[in-house]
Amino acid sequence: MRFFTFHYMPYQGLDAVQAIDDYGVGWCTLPNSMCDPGVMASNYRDYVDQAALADELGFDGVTLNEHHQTPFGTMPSPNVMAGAIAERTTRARIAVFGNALPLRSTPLSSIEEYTMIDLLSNGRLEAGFVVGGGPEYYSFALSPTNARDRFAEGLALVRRAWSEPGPFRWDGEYYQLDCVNPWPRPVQQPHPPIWVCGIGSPSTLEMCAREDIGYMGVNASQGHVDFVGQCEYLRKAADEYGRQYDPARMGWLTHIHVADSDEQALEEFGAHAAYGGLLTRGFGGPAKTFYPPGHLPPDRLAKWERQTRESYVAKPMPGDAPLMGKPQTVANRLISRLKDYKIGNVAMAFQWGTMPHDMVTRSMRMFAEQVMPIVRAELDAYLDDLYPQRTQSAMATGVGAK
Amino acid sequence: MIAEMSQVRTPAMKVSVAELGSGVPLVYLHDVLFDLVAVDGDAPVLLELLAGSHRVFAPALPGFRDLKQLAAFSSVTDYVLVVSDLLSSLGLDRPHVVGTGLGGWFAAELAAFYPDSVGTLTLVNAFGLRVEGHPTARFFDAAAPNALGGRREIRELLFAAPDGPPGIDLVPDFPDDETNERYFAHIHASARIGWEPPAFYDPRLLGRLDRISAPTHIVWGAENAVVDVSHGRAYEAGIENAVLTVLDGAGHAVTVEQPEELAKSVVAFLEMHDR
Repeated sequence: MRFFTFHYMPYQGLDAVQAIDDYGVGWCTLPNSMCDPGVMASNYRDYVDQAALADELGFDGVTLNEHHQTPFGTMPSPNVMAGAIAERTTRARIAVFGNALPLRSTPLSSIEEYTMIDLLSNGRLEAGFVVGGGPEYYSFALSPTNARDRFAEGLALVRRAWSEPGPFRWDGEYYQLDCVNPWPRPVQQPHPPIWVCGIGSPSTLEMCAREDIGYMGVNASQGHVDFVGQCEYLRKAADEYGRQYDPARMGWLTHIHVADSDEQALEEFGAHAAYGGLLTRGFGGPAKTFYPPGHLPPDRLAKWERQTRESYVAKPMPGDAPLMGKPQTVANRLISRLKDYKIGNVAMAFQWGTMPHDMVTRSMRMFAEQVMPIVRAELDAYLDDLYPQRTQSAMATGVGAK
Repeated sequence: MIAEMSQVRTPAMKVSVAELGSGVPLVYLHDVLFDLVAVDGDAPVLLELLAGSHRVFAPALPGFRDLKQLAAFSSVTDYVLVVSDLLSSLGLDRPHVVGTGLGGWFAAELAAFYPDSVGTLTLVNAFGLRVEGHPTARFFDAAAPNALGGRREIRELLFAAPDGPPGIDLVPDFPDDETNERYFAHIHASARIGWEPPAFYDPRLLGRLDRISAPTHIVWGAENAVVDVSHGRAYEAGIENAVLTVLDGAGHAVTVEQPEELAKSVVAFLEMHDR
């Protein structure tokens, strides 16, 4: 069982209520004059310190992600942040969940930067890839109607470039390259573990099962039942493709806050969560633009709109907020969740919204000392029993390997 | 009026075509929303009115009936070729070509690529041009899923009266799943070509408008907020043989806002050139 911290790295210097009131959006068109570089630099310093602390406390890894043109997540290049964190950590895995391949003019740049991170960190990279969020397709003026096709081709190119000796030629629908021959080569051979991060599209789960790629469910606000369904779907698909399901290649993203009592945890989380929640809602107005037309098929968009409307609550709280509480509460709930999912990785956002550095580090310490050992022992025994052949890392053995 | 529906084979794909009325042939290229004949042949009022004097051929543009068709479409040339092929498959010699919005763009391109294939050209609120200082509205921003806010934003773009009929009936705030799926499918199909820059226009089109030889009628809604009337004037200025009609009180969705006035204006021009 591996425990990762997760970080959106929000810009904290905004009056989010005012911003949403004035502009109706938290992404794309929210004026960048509202970003104070001094505040941002100080936020960055705290966030890098939090990654270093995770390393020190025995977390298995830290997780970064990519977002553009929003204070919600200020890592337009998670790879730059990964480079900084590589120098401040010694043993934690550095998971980038992930690079938004279609937003790049060529997947080669992602391969190159990822390889550099792997080298700088002496083989600690987990290489995640994402289609990219809806708002990013507005920011980059890129058609969402072929985003998934473009992503699939980009990923195939990445895997081949990391698995086969170069140079070779690539004649695809979206990418045409005379010379695929990335230098340097990564420490981890044939390549760092590859992950696809998704929100539960059957086509994505199917691809991960078929191609033996790690799957990281990154929709932190989805319900428990939904994610149980995704896990079942992936295990079934792996079976159908004649592959052994490996919990090391499946992960779940969640919010978390540990404090002395359940009441204190909920209160502290609630006080700071509103900020992040507001900005999420403000993707482009209330519950708009998460998934632009074409990003998902029409029937899923229609369903998403209806379900969002039906389940909307005015006071945002991510998901059903299961992991807010005292250490014992969080341990019990986490064990129960992970057993339901039968997975070997969990990524936890300790920092969310405006939660200040001291509160974040306190919660991380309590988790590392009082929750992680219990959950780790319990889950390792449980997974060993269920999947005696399971591995300890998300490293696939190569393209098309069984 | 119920149209006869058929699948017409072209070299690239099968195209679903609705036919109605009788008289001189008229090919009608539809916009993103509202003026596509339903699968069961139920035709919009505007097409019924046009069919009163002409034989109307109304194809479904690629992807609008079946999103899978989009796989082979990524540039305006792909669309122009399939429309041109369709004229041949239907055996139509220099028909009237009428296009609205997105379909108007393809009609203008067709008339510029193949000037001899078009009898007359009618452009209604056509996309296709870049006009300095009058950019095409952020259409897909306004058309995005909006679980809580409803559809007012897109109605504001499309209709002169966003909260009155027919807008509120055709684009209700919280539609049922089936209506909503069709809406998203049409937005999706048009995003294939309308999203990426140049969005809903072709920077080269203005330079080749002078290739168009067909008598051309440009019709514009005075209140059009998607492509404002300056686009109509640019078409008028660029095409040698063009006249412009501006319909007061109409927006981009003129086909459903003022079908009678629009049909009257369109038919009056066509009848001057029927042969």
